[in-house]
Amino acid sequence: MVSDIIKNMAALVTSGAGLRIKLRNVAWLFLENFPFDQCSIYMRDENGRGFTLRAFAGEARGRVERYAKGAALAYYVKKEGKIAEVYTPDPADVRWKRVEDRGLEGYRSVVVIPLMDGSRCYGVLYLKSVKKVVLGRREKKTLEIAVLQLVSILKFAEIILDYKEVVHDLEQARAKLLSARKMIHLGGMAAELTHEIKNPLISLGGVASRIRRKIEKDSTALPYVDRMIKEIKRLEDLVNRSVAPLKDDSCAGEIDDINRILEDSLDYFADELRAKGIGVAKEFFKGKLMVETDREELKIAFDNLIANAIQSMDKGGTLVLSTLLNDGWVVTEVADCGGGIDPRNMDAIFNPFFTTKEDGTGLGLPITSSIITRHKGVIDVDNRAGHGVTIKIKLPCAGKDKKRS
Amino acid sequence: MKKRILVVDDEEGLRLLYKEELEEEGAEVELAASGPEALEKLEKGSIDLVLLDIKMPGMDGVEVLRRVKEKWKDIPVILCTAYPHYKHDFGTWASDAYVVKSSDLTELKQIIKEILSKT
Repeated sequence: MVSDIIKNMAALVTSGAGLRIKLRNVAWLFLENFPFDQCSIYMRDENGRGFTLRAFAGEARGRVERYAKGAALAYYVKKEGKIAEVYTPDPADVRWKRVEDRGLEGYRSVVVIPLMDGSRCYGVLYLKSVKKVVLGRREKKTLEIAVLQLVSILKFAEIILDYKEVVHDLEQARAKLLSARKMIHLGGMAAELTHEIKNPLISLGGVASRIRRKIEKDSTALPYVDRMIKEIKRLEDLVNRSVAPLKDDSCAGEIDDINRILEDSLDYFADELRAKGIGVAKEFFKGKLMVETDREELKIAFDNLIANAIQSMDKGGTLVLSTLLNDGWVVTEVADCGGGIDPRNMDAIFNPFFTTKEDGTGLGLPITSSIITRHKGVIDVDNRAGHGVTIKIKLPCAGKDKKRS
Repeated sequence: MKKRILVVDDEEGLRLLYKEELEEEGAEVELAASGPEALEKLEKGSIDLVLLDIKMPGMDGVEVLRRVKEKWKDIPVILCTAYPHYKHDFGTWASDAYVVKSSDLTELKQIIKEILSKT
């Protein structure tokens, strides 16, 4: 008869029911199998400060919903780590061994059992009887086993909770991956589009230049045509800086000096740098820094970085370009002092179409990053919010001399 | 004697632009919208220079270049494309010059002048 509870508890441990239902069943099982009138299961709060009633069965008298941090029996058994067996001749008495517990009111026998797993306390089990109860040896043994089963139910629930968290994290990671793929796809579409735009754009610009030559020098239409030509030129530059990512595989295996490629990129921006009053500090490695590269592509990458730096430095300042050799890596740094990136945006800066600029495309950094990746390189962003940004690009050195500089 | 330039490009707008611009520079301009059409016009003779787009449907510019150089190795060919990365394609090495398309035709005209002055 008494062993029934062991069987029933064992079935509960692995049943698919939720913890709340399991605990309610447990409470009834204890009440049915032991000579008590009330059974309560208290769980420790997550912060460990209090005990809250989670399952209840039997007599309504002396039902306590919650024990805040203090001297109640729940705290006594938790502190002692062992069972408290309480007998009070007077049911009106709420004190036992200096411990005051309102739950004692109306009962003569109470057993409080800590639900321990090693040193970890999940909660306590309260069993109360209106009459005096003395448990026999076998009953005590059975009670102990049933409590162990109750602990395993709690532990199982905890594992399920951890498992659910892991699944949730995985699902989130999967969603992130999917959106990243979508972005790459969109980026590819954008690159295709810029290709298609380039030819008509050249045609448009060429015709605009022809109009300019045909109209009279003092024509009032002249400024409009000039504006048209200027805007078309801007679009052309943009398209030129975006055409790279259509090619997928790795880059063509040519060997070139990174310092030379950087100089070329800088030349391209010479007028703009002068116009904006931006100084350039070149801290180049003395000697050649050979990398395996698709020169035009790498130039597009540097063009994008320099263009970003210039755009950020609308108050002038110094653009620092440096190159060095470190452990077989050719390291290039482009550092601006344009105020840096808002830390809230850091996660998004490599997403195609993400931009904070009014006339930005949001393609500069994603394109740059894909070019660097194709060169088997690494791109890092050191953001000093409020000061500036340093973009660090590491490319494998293709020269014989791969020693540390 | 006027020099005759054959412009090969599948974009009509660009063909017209090149035609007008180069005619203003004093050249005679023939147009072809595809590789086969270009080869047909070359067969008729008297072309001094070919301006050739690379990316065309059907026979692409690199293939046209190969056939031109096989048959008329003395006619200079300028490869003209929207995409700078063709520069490293081995097939394009046989061309006499490589120009990245731009609405500013100054560079192209300069190269044409240089090449034609040598012939």
